[in-house]
Amino acid sequence: MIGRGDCVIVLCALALVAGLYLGLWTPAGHGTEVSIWVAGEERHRLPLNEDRLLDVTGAIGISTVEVRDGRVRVLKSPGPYQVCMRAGWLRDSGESAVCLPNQVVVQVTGPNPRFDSINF
Amino acid sequence: MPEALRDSRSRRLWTALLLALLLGACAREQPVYQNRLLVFGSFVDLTLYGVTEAEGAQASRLLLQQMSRQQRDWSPREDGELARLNAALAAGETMEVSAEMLELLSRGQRFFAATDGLLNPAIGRLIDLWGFGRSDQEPPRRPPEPAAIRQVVEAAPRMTDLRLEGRSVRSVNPAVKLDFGALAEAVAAESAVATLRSLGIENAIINMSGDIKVIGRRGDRNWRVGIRNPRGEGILAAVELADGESVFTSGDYERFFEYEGRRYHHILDPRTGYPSEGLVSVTVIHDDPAVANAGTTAMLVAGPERWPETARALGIDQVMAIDRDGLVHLTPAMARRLTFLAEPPPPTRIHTP
Repeated sequence: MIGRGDCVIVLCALALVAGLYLGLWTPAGHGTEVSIWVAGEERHRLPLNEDRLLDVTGAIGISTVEVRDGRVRVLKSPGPYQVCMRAGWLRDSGESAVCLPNQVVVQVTGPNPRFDSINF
Repeated sequence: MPEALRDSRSRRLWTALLLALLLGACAREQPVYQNRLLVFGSFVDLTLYGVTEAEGAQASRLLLQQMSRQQRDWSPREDGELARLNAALAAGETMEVSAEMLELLSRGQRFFAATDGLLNPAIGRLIDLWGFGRSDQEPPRRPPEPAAIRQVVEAAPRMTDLRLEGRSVRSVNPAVKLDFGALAEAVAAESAVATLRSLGIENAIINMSGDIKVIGRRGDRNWRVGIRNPRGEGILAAVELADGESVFTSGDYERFFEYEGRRYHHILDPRTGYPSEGLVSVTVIHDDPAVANAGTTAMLVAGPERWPETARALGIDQVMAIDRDGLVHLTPAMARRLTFLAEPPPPTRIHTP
């Protein structure tokens, strides 16, 4: 038989699930923060829901990072092949843009990353 | 059902116990160690599952040491074993090489033979002529003079010009200059896995400038990888990798320059001396990173008509090749693996082997 104790446990469980859902859910795979690395060390961590421009000083110059509408991109960077700028807007958790030789890496992070790594 | 379970009190006890077990399973989420190593003129991203900070830091140190040495010894632009070997070959001399170098050379020869010369690590002079060698130097502004390209191509440097006897290496063609390119990184990925295993690390994902090798799993699920769209933004497709698999992509978008309205990229066709044409990118899933790398490069050169032959010759059955019109060519085995995420989904064509 299901007793009152069972009901309490089930209700608690349901409330927990609802709370976690409201607190942690973001659209499938979308990141919530951007992590900016210079020379293999994390230097900045910015929320993706606050639009801003940030100049990051790397090994050979300044890479300009733009956060807008929940996405991030490298707007300007001194690399010869401009690989990180061509990566365009990044939104999914795990997506990254790598600026070589400026040694700047811009990576989207979030609580429920859709990917462990990105192939390109 | 045991008598005791019919009793509601002990049932409550069982429920509570089950919930505790479930929550306990959540709480036992293993630590995940992440690091980014600066080596091979690029970044190597390391994600180790079930590894503490101290164990991860130790693994990072060992891998950084190992890969720095490999970069020095396997890059033609450093001051290590390959640079010495190239100098000896150019001078027509014989050189004793390490067992590791011998292995790299004989693998290069096997790939050369299997791809009918489409993968040719002997064209170092052609790569130097174009100036695509380094990711951190200014890209070339214009293609080399056609006469200069012709001269290098006609000298016909081939992996079969090398003579390997014991540890001794010589070349019957002084035009041979070895440049393994990303193949060196692929071999390094395999030895990185061996090092991780020797440390007792069985669950890891290694990303070396975009190319990925995994071992084990991420807890109770496989490793999840997104394949970036080679044209435009975002993720083209998702794939789950099983223990031991690697996914490699080569494309015309990594290093290139434009001259008089044409794109010149860094993967050169050894037959013509010019960048390969027809395919934008090739993606391969295979257990051996070296085979995956050799395959993506050789198939990009083989082009939209001939890539299936190259895949067969290398024993690769999972291929995605994207042509200039944006058509996505897939082998049946690859089609089963990929989930396309791009909106709208790209046009695809399945090639039955």
